[in-house]
Amino acid sequence: MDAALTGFLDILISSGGLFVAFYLMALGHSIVEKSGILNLAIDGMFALSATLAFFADVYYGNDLLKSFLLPAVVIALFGLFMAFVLTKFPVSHGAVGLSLMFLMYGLSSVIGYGPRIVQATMPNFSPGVSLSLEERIAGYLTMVALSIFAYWFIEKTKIGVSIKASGEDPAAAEALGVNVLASRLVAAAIGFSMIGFGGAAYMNFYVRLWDERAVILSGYGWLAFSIALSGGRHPLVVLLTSLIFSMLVHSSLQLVAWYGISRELSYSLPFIVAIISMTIYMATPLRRLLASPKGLGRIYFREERTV
Amino acid sequence: MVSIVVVRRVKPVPYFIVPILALLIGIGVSIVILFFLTGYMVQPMDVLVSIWTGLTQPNVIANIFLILTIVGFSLAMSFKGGLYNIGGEGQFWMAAWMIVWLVFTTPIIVSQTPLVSKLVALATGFVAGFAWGLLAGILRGYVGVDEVPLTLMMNYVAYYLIDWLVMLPGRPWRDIYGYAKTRSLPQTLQYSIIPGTTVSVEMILVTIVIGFLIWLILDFTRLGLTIKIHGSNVNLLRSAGYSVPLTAALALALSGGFIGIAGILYLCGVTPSIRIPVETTTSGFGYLGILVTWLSMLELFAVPIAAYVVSSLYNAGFTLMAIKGTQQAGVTAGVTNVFMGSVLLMYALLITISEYEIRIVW
Repeated sequence: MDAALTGFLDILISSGGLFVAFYLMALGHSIVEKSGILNLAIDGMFALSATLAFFADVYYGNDLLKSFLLPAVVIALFGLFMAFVLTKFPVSHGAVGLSLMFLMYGLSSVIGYGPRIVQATMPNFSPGVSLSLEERIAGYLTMVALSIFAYWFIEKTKIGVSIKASGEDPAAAEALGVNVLASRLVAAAIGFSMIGFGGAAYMNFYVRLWDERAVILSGYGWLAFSIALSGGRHPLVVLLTSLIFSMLVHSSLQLVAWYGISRELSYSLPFIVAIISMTIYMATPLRRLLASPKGLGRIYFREERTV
Repeated sequence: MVSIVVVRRVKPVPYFIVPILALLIGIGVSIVILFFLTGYMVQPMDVLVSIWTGLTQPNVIANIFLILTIVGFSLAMSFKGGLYNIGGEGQFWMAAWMIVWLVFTTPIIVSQTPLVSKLVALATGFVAGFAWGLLAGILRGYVGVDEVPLTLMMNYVAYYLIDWLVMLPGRPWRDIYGYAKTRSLPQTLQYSIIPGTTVSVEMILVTIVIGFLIWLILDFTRLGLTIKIHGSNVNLLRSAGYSVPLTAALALALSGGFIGIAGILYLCGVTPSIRIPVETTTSGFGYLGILVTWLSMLELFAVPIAAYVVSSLYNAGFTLMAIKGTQQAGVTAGVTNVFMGSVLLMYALLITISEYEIRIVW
């Protein structure tokens, strides 16, 4: 029993960096989707933000401030663009999201290659920092505090309620005096920059290397998508689903040792669990309890409109 | 004050305008991106030459073109039903894997005449792709799971599953020299390439037959009609007494089945073994097919045209690598994604102008 508990705590602590990354991405994604914007670009955003963090690490001497700010600003700009066109024009959320995802994969590939070559000439350099035990615990506590703040922001503030109203029924919200465009732009600025922070946290606190498999082909952005979905986009519930997935991903290689399953199968496990969790969410009362915004992904615009 | 006025057009613009514009502007955006991100190493002329090389050498891109045409036809089937099947990759590779497994565990498959063996291989691919698509279809139709993340995640599951299966020790499909790949398919299943090209007669015939079949299904069968109604008015379908979940499941499954045949063509006509890790060695036809389908505006007759253009763009990525070199300019295979993303984004934005007029009023 003690051994099991110790093992659990070991995984909990050692997956701290990944937990921070997943939670930031899933929370940011939740805020964006609460405003009614379907964000199918999340995996590309994850790849690009992790790549930009790596870029900043290599070229700015592991300056964490720059390494977090650069991806946050770039992803927020993409997000603001998304929010604007999806609110002002009759454009498909899915089509814009997916195309941005592919574009960001390409950008990540082109941007990441240069610093990787440069890194090869820096023998003792690793991007990011190796977190101590205290820092990992602080990471968990910070995310708990952030979840409470995010809950308060969305549920109790005027702008939070406006964001939710824009996601539920933008036409009705606008009729009641809510500026849907402004609300969505605020949600996009906050949410997408958090996704950028999440990608930077993945690079700086967890994986600490750049290659196409670890960043562009990992699919972890999609895991963040399903973390948010199965947590009902609720800041406090998403905390729990982020914890489960970060531990699952981190321990997947340990499953190889514990149960003798293959490395490849262990890689697939988080995706299988993600599919199962999405299925459980849709097939159970969770779907009603933690319902998606009614206007999520629906084309909203008014003919003859003014900025 | 600046005003953006969106007004519905009385008469939509001709449908071919949008994809052509999207293509031209998308390529322009790609040129700008590559120019700046590679530190001016990739000049606009390099990109244009790369694309032109593909466009003017049909014999080189022919195999990619045929496979993308099939994937494009297949995706059009589900897209017409309003179902975004992003899982083409998984369906493609599961079918490819299934024929490898069958060939090396059931030798009777290849002991028949070549024609029978090849037909069995195609049928196997269809069944495998159909089954993988049906899994997503059931979850989409009967449980309501969003098909986009679902099919995408199933791609990753398929990749890792195949990586695992290929490397299982002691299995008859393992490469005898220990490389990370399967053994090559027997000669009876491999297609003979037409000299001077990259395609075979079988690939051409199968592509034509699949295009014809999908056209028949969509335009002349009740199933096709229900799929199309599913894409435009689910409530109408329900009120007419048809099963909405079953229609969704079948649309995704059929789409997967035909993509599975593309997987078999790839294995029998392009490369006779599966290399792993699949996720890093894949050509990404399942994703490129999305671009083909969107650019075709879901019109079946336009799918081959779109596939030809996308094949050229795909080839351009590799030509650029050859011209500039990865070491010098950092041009990797990911450049294809820059082309693809830019063109898709422009398409997604410009499709609006086909039905709406956008005026900026000062």
